[in-house]
Amino acid sequence: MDMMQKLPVLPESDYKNGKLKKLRGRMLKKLLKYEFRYLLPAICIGIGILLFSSILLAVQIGALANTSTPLFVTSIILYAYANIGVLILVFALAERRFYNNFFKNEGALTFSIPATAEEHIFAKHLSALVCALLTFAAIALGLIILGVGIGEPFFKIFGELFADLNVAMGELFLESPVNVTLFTVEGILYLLESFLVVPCVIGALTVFLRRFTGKKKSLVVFLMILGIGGVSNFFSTAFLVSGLPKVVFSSLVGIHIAIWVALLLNAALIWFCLFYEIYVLKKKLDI
Amino acid sequence: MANVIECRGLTKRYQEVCALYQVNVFIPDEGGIVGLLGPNGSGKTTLIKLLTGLLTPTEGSIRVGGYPIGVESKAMVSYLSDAHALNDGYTVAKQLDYYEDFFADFDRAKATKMIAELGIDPKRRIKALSKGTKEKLALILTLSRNARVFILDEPIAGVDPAARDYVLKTILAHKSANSTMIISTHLIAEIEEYFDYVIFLKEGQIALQGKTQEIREAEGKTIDALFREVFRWI
Repeated sequence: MDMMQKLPVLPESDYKNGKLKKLRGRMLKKLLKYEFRYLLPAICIGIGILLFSSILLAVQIGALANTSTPLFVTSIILYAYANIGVLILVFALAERRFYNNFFKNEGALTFSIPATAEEHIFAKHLSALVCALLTFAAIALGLIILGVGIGEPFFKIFGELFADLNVAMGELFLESPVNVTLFTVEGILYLLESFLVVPCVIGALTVFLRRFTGKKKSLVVFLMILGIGGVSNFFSTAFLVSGLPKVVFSSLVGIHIAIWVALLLNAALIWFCLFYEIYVLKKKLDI
Repeated sequence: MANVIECRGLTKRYQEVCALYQVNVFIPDEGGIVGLLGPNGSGKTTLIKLLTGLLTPTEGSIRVGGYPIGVESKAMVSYLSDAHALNDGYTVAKQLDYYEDFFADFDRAKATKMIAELGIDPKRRIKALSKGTKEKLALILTLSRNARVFILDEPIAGVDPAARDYVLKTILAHKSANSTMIISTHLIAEIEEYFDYVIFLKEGQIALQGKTQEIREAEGKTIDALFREVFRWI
């Protein structure tokens, strides 16, 4: 190999001790920029519609003397659908981008840019996570707007809901202030995981199905999905009928253990999906 | 002289079909134009996709500019796909931003000048352009990089004679002396005079490779005539 070939062809900042860094901030930043440029405009419109409909509904409720009219009920149902719809829109757009960028003709350009498989995958999922959290925040803000419009009855309903939850969980927040902090941490972690797990699973399934589309192995894929669903249902049903929930949820430690088991299982699923996607893009890519 | 591209024992299988079998390619770093020749289904696109990292080999190794296929090799290869691979939802200007962001060697001024010469409005969406204009745009973007290796997959196939002239003229005008350009084609007569090195692929194996002039002298015929002879019954 001559001298010219030994020269690094990427910026010095991409190397650490002469070796290429696994994830390079420079390229990841650029990939994220294009992901957000694609996702944010549509999501901002969705969020705008959501907030505007919250204000409209709050005004409508304030003006109505009777909230049991068909118009009010229809408005509430439509509002609920709009909330769910915007959240689905985030994941649908992220999925569309994932598929088009990687597996359609565009893939030839996507994979000719000097980025690693890890950078591609992280940029996709990180942008989807941020957009999902933004939408979630908008939904929460919409509910607050609605609450302000409705006034006391709205907060009473929420108050009752949380009171029931507190009773169901052994009034943990009241019993021990330390648990409130821990629960807050666990709640935030669980929320983050829940929003991350959706694009990861969708991405892994897309990669999986794309690899085997039109081939005999697509049947194997279908059976595997059915199998995973069946096994998970079997264990959750067995857990519920065994009487274990009473034992687990009757103590503070039991509840925390149950939450951390769920957190770890979610983390394992996310890790597995990411690993699988990166593995296919690195070792089995076929554009 | 080192080789800019080295493939050793390269094999690619798709299920039962073997697209490439034990292919050894050594392209010297002399900055010429390499003709990758063969009929449809001979493995040209598979070899190109392996060189650009769009496929992973079943067996064998590849090195581009001394590096295995990865971010370093991709940073020095400018690739023109045989299928339209631009981002359809982007405007022409946004596609230029994309190239400028991701390819450090992209010369935006050069691309902008060529786009203006063609009369393409930078504000137009790529999906609104005609098929021919999309192909020309993709070629402009590919050639506007100061890459060490250019790989053009069938750049003159499926275009009308006038567009073919434009493509050939543009390729030759923008080919720098120290870069290597690989052009896959089965339309040899049109482009033969520009080849410095040729590789003949036949049923997934190398039928012949070497310097064009040496092959012409040894065989006593043009590359086009030789191609017709080698692939007569395919």
